[in-house]
This record gives sequence, structure tokens and C-alpha cells, in this order.
Amino acid sequence: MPWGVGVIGAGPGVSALHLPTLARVRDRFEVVHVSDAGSGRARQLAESLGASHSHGVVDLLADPRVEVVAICSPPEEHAAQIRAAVEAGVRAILCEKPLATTAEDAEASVRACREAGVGLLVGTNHLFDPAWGRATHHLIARRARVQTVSITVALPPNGRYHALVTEFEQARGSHPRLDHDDPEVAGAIVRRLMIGLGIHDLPIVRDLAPDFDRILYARPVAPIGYAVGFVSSGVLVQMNAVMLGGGADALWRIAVGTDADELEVEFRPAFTHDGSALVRVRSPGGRTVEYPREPSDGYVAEWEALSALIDGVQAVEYDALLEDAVYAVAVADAAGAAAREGMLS
Amino acid sequence: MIGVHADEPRYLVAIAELPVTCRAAAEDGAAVVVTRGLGPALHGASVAVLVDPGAVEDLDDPAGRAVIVDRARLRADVAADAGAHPGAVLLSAHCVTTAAEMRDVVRDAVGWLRTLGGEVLGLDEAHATPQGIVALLRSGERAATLAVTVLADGDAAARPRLRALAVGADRVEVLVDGLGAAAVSVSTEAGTTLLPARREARERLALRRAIDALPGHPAPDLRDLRHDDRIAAAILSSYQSSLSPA
Repeated sequence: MPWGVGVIGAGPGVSALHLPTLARVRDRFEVVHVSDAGSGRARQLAESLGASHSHGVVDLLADPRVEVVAICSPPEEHAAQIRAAVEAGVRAILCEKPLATTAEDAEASVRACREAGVGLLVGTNHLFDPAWGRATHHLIARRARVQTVSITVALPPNGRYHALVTEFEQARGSHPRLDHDDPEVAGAIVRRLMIGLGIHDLPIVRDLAPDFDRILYARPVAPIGYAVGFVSSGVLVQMNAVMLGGGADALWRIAVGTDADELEVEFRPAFTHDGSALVRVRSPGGRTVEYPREPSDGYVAEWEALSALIDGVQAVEYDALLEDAVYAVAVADAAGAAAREGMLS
Repeated sequence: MIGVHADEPRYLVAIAELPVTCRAAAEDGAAVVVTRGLGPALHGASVAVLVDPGAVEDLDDPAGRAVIVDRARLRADVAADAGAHPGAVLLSAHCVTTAAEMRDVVRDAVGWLRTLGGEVLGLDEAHATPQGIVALLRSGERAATLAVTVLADGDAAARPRLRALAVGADRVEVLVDGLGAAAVSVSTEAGTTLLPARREARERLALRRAIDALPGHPAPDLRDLRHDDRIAAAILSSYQSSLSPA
């Protein structure tokens, strides 16, 4: 019998991401309940699946068929909803990234799950991408010392990829014009984007360079994006991202410079199920090796990992989840403050 | 035919590849002189082709002569292919280099940021460890970033390479390999186009440009080189500091 899943949230991330992904692992999971925050979107999504629908989380968590909860609400609500799900006695939780927006919330959420023995997984799909496993294996096998990490993200509107995996009315219009010269706005943009977009890669950065040291610079990038540099475990890290109003296909590249060679990981566009990322290794002498891509992707892999946690095949990595969350909050806080201070100075 | 003076064997090859336009000439009878500096060796030449410029601050004033600069990773034809992109919202460059070649490589990486941005650059931040550098620059109102990974000098096979990127609705990427060969790709909503490779030897290109500069059309090469070198030197001072004992 598949595990019954209650999905909290009914926005594009659910319609375009989790429902199509769960349809790919239907032998292990079945959506039984979808809730929204009052928009009414849950009804349409649930009806097409023959599932229940509701507003808020109370009815969903009281639904006896809900054994697993997928938390796909705005980031500020994640921590409280994790604790509510634990209190309701669910078996496992998949929480969309970030786990929490403050270190205190992250600690409380992980502690609640650990004490209740509830399985917890955060949907950091890049970390689960089979290609990242390949890349990690390469670094370990080469005993490479990481020197630099450079991440470049350029994204067209999500709607382009939503249209490939779901059907719904696309939101029209462009990003609101933000006053990047206002220090408070600049700081808020950078912090929010780091915790909302940079979070895709911060667990990977922590994997490579676990001890955050200090921010070197941070500034917002128009129309909406950031350029952030920091040091972690002595490694220089550069994270650039920008969300655009249209144009070229998505670029999402992580370049890891080591004393042995340079590793590049190019992820596929978000929402699509187009196989794993591409891993390319360039040696100092110029030899380039590309590993074959895998048919699976990080979205499917994270649900498969949750299944393994529920089955007891894998242990829940509470400490790693907490450290990932605390690391991300520390980087985001420092980047936001640096962007604000940079404008002030 | 235009007299060209060159001691460098690869420039003698370039002269041989322009048999209708050029002839090898002695220093004092050459209109074009291939040189590593801008001093007295120029004699009466109208144009200098500056090869592998080392310390730019030590270069003499060219005294009104046109100067064409032959840069290993920033060919003029590839730069023209890639073009300037005023609509780009973010520029970035990433290079991998040995410490020994760092100044030239970082200078060329800065040159690519200038080329793609179409504007002079300002340096906001530069931070280094003995293994790398990150820098934040400005191209007008836009952010431009540079990352450098430093290879061990002991690896004789190591060859520097760089990548530069202009991000806007369209995206332009330049990849320069260890031989200096560049691939320029342009990505739009319609897909990615790889521009034709430039296969002319860079020395022949430099000579042709020098000949084009003869009738009094000064090229911006030396001004650009000084700009790029000044920024690179400021970035590299952070690297030198990282090597000093605390």
C-alpha cells in the first residue's frame, strides 16, 4: 500500500513540482489530501486526484489517511507546520526548502521530529540529484582539496517550465521594480533570495566547505538577483543569480575548483524531469571528461529517499538537516546585512 | 609591401602568411615593429605590435604611434564576435591559472568583462587566499564578478583557461582553452548558437590589424591594456597579501 500524502500548499510548486513527481512514485505514495491557505486552488488539484481538500492545516492533519506530509507553503510557515505535523502524529515529513528561516526555528523543528521519531527530509533537490552523488564521489576519489566554488544561475520565468509539466493559469506581468538603492530593500532582497533561491545550493556548498567564516561582499542584481561572495572553511565561494523576464534557457552551474581539477555541474531546468545534471571535469592539462547523465532527477530522488527513511532503509540525518539549515540562515543573514551595509557605505 | 620587423619566429611565420602585403624588414626600415616594449627599438616605425606585454606600468609612451596588442586569451576578432552587451544585467568571469601566469590571465579575464560589458570597470572588492581570488566589480550600474582558481606551479602540464559570461535575456559565453582557442556561444529563447571558430593565427591577425592601423587609425588596444592591467593589479594585490605571513 502506498503511503497517504497530505500536501500543504497548492501553489505552482505543488501543481508543477510535487504532484507530477508523486505521480512518478505512485507505487510508494498517494496524494490523499491537499490544503491551501484560502485561495481555493486545493480543490481543483485534489479533485483531479480523487483526494480531499481543505483550507489551512487542521483538517489535513486530522485526516486519518494522511501518513506523510509535504510542506510546500511559504518559507516562513515551514517550521510551525513541521511542529504541527509532528503533534498530529504523522510518520514522515518532506519539507520544501528552506527548513526554516531562523536558526531557532530550525532547531525546534528538528528537535521535535527527532524526539517523536518522525522522518524528516528537506527538498534540496540538487543535493539529491544523482549527478551530485557522482561529483562527490569524484572529489573523494581524487582526494581533491576544494579551493573555490562558483555558482552561476540565470533563470527565465518559471512559467516556461510549468507549462511543460502541468496546466494552470500562468501569472502575468513582470517582477515589481525594486529600489535597489534603498539599503533596507537591498538587504531584504538579498537575504530573501539567499534563503529562497540560494538554498538550492547552500547544502552543497556546506558539503564542500562546512564552516561559514565571513561574507566578503553582497549586492542585489536587477531585475531581481544577487551577487554574493563569502569564505567558508577557507574556501572562496561566489554565488551569482538573476531571475529574468524571458530569454535563454535556464543556466544553473556549479564550478568547483580544486588542486586536482575543476568540476562543473550543470543542473537541468527546474520543474522538468529531464534526467540528472551534467558533470564535467576539466584537468589542468586540458583533458575534459563528461560523466554520462542518469535518467532520474533530484525531485524523484528526494521522494525515493523519503520512502527509504520510512522503510527504515536509511537513517534520518537530523544533525545534517539542522546544520544545513543553520548554515543557510547564517549565510543569508550575513549577506543581507552586507548588502544593506554596502548601500549605506 | 609593408616592411615588418620581427625577431619572434612566430611573427616571421605570420609575415610568410601575408606574402602580398608584408615583407620582413630591418628595424630602421620597418613601418611595423613587433616588440615586447615601447622603447627605442621602435625607431621610425608607425605601428608597434606589442607581444606578451609584461609589466604594463613600465611601458614607455608610444609617442604617437599606433599600438596593436597581441593578447593570448583576448583576440580582437573573438572580442568583436562576442561584442558588447549593454542589455546584460550581470557579468562574470572565472579563470584557472598557475601563479606564474596569473597576471596575464587575470588581465585578460578583466578584459573580457570590459569587452562584454562595453564599459570601463570599477573594482569594489577583492579577496584572496593562496588558492584563489574572488572579486566584485562594477560595469556601469551592473555587477561583474571574477573568480580565480590557482593551480599548483609544479604541474608542467597545467594550462590556464578562462570563461566569461554576459547574462541578460540573451546570454553570451566565451570559453578560452589552454591553447588560447576561444569558443563563443550565444543563447537566446530560440536556442544556443556556437559562433564559427576563428582559426587565423593570432600573430597574423595582429599584423593585419597593425597594417590597418597604418593610415592613422589608432586602435584602442593600449588604452584597454592599461585599463585591464590596472584593475588586474589591484585584484592581484589581495592575492599577494594572502601569501604574506600574518
